[in-house]
Amino acid sequence: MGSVLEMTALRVATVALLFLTACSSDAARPDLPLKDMAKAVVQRAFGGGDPVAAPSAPDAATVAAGRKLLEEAGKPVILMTDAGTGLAGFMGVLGVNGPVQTWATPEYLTIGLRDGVLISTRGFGADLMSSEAPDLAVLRTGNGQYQRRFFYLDGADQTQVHDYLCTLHTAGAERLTQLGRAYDTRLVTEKCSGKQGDFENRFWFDASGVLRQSSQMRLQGVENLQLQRIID
Amino acid sequence: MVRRGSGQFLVGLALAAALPPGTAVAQMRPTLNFYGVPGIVDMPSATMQADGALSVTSTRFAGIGRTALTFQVLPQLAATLRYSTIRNWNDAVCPPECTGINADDTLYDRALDLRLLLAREGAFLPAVTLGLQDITGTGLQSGEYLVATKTVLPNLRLSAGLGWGRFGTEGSIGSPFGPRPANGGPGADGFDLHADQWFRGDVAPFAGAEWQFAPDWGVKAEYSSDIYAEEAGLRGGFDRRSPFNFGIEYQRGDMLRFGAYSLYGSEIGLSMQIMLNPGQRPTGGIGGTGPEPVKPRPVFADQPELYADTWVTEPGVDALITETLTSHLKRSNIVVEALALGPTTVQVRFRNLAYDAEAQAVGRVARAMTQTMPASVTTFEIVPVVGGIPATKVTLRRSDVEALEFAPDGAAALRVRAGIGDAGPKPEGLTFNPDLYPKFSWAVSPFARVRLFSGEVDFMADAGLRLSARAEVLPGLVFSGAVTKIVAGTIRDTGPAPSSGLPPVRSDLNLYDVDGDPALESLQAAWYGRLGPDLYGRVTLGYLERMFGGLSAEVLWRPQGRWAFGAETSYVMQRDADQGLGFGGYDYAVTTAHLSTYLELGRGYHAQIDVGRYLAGDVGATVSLDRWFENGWKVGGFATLTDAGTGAFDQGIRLEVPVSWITGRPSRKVTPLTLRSQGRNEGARLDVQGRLYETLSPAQTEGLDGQWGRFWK
Repeated sequence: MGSVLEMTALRVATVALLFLTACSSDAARPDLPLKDMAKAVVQRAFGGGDPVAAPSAPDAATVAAGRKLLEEAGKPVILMTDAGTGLAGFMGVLGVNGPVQTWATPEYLTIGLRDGVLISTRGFGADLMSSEAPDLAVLRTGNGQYQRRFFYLDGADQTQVHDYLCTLHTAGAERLTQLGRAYDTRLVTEKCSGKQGDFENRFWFDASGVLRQSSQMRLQGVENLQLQRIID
Repeated sequence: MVRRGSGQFLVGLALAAALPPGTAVAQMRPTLNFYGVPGIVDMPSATMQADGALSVTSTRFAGIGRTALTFQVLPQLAATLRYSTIRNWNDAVCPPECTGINADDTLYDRALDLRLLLAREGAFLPAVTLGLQDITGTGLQSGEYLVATKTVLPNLRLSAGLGWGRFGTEGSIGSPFGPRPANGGPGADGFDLHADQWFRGDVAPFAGAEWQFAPDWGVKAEYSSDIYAEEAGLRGGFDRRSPFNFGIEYQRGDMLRFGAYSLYGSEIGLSMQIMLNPGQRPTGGIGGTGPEPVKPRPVFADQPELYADTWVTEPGVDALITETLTSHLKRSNIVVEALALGPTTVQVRFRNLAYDAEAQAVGRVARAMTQTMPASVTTFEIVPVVGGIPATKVTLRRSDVEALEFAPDGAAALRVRAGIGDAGPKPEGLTFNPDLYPKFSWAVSPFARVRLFSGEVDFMADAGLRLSARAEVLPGLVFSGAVTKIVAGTIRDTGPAPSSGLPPVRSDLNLYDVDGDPALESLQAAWYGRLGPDLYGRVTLGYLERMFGGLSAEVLWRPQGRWAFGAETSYVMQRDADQGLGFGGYDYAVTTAHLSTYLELGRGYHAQIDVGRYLAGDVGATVSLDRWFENGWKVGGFATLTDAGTGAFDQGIRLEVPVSWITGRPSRKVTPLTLRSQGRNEGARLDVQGRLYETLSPAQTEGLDGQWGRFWK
């Protein structure tokens, strides 16, 4: 009888879990109203797979077909890969507010980019709510020092500020291949350190100074977000 | 008491001086003892858990099982509620002594402890804590202590203290404050502080050490000053051969800790500790899909024609905008309840079905409004509707919403520009969403019922399914009902609870548990409304709860600020135990009435005092103190004193765990849990659903501000 008591806490916890599974007519049914061309394109190019799962390495012909479909749609496309959550997908522009563009996957995983510089994320759980970040023109110079400031919500929904001191370096030339197309780029690295730790961002600029690819920190301790500009 | 306390404080300091000074600042996590309070093995330490921490401990040795819930109420104050069982309780005395306390083979005991931190740990001085164990109830576990703890190395913590009561029974060094008066003894019912006993009688020193020899592993050793006079001595439950206890503990993650021990030279003990931090969601930030972006208006000079306000008078514009707004908010599971359109100001009334943070729903509505409202609209009035009541009004300038979407810490910047206040009267031209009424919804969900220490059984549970349905006929008018069917369980009739000579308004719980399957849990009509500025009302009619049906009415006056006042009166009849439609079984009707005062104490603390007449016709008051965490957790306690019988208290602890805290996904569901003595007739209150204060609070100023950061989520 006594040992039953010891189990009480566990049983109560189990019962609590039971309440997580219930069905009702009000259950949120997340539909996907965004008729983003990326989804259709990816599904056609890669055989109907879920675009949120990382596409498996396709052969050259499939890649070329995929690029052609993306180009035909005539809209800018970014390929986003987030190793931290294992999420990946093509993103299109969902909105523009001043200098910041909101890019989104069809599942409403969204990021705010100012000229390609990550300002915010949504739908990643521990989101980067907002930030103070350098202009792309500053990054392009490949040298200099400045402060960055990131805002997050903690588990009590209270705003937390992470401050960093950052330094730019020009790391040299690198040749990139993105969905079957090659670019000669100049790599700029941004090294930041703060109370929460250190991180390194990387920016690849092509010959005309366009940001072709970047690897940017969204949350300290999580792998960087990888962004490739597939279609301009 | 104060002078006496400060005297012991000096004793604590003297003890501290005996410890080697260390430069290490406390880094070791708090660990819990066999009573479920921070400590060594069976003895307490001065360590406190983090503010707001909640722990559940289950321990066992020598047939003594203890399950304890400890809550760190304030950084300096912790409270513990503990249920204990002692097996073979009457073996040594029955026969011949088989009555009263000795009637049963197993003793069930409930205890409340308070611990007060007198001094924080410094670079050289130890932490000092004053503890009062088992201050109510039977007094079987009663003891007081003053203990000092110092982290002398980053992984080594030493404690030493002085104990009274049961902690002063081994190796006494005297009775500095005189003899300890006799206690009501085990079996004494009700609430008595036993304050005349505190720090009286023999005092004895105790000491112990904790060494964290690997990141997840710790060992403990102590000298106990508890001789277990009752359990080991009088009743021979075990053989206490030594005052030394040893143990090894393993920490798994941040939440779980397991331990194995050698106690008193003859016994093996086991413990499990669950440590929660309600204030912080373990998953950190909440999940869920991203929002729609803000759509700024075009520059006026570019397209001045878009800024014309002639659209307001166009026929069918209400329906068109309602439909468009609805489509934008559908994905967020937000329902557009009503719209009031004006050339420059638009009010949207909505219902939030998805988010545990009302601020996030308000933000989603603001975003959708930028997508749908004509450019002439400059002011957004966003009104969350809760249970049919417009709970509050958030007024935003459209230009601020446009400018601050990506601003660093844009939520804080927007908050200082937003107005939050009373929803105000119904605006002119308010048009309700025609698709909304009548709205019918249903749900099937599992439910569970737990009975602790009922008769001779310490744990019984039933699990089943609940089919619930609701129909909203008009704004604020809801018909609802629920039917339950038990699928499996162990609850059986263990006899009624003591009725104390009062009408059996709760004591026939056993009959309701056993006879009511399937049961009509509730079937009612409820009306909610805003009666005037800051004034809200509720009327509920029908089968209100498992045991009572009738009519219940409530008003709440909640002006801006800390105070709120409410009144509730009900005329109810006791339902039959089979929980069908009948009332004939008891032929008992009563009018209850309460006046309530609510006070926000700051930092999430809420106090409430209800004065009035309870179900059994007894008159008295209930005092409650709850802590509401921003993320939706609620932890609190209450005590009721009425004129019934011996003036006994009914006390309890209640928890509310938001499902979003567990899953990290947005959800409005909560898992409520109340620990109280079940089946008491004194101080029993009608369990009517949807009382106004708790219903409205999350959507009013405090709730919105607490989670305002979620606006842009």
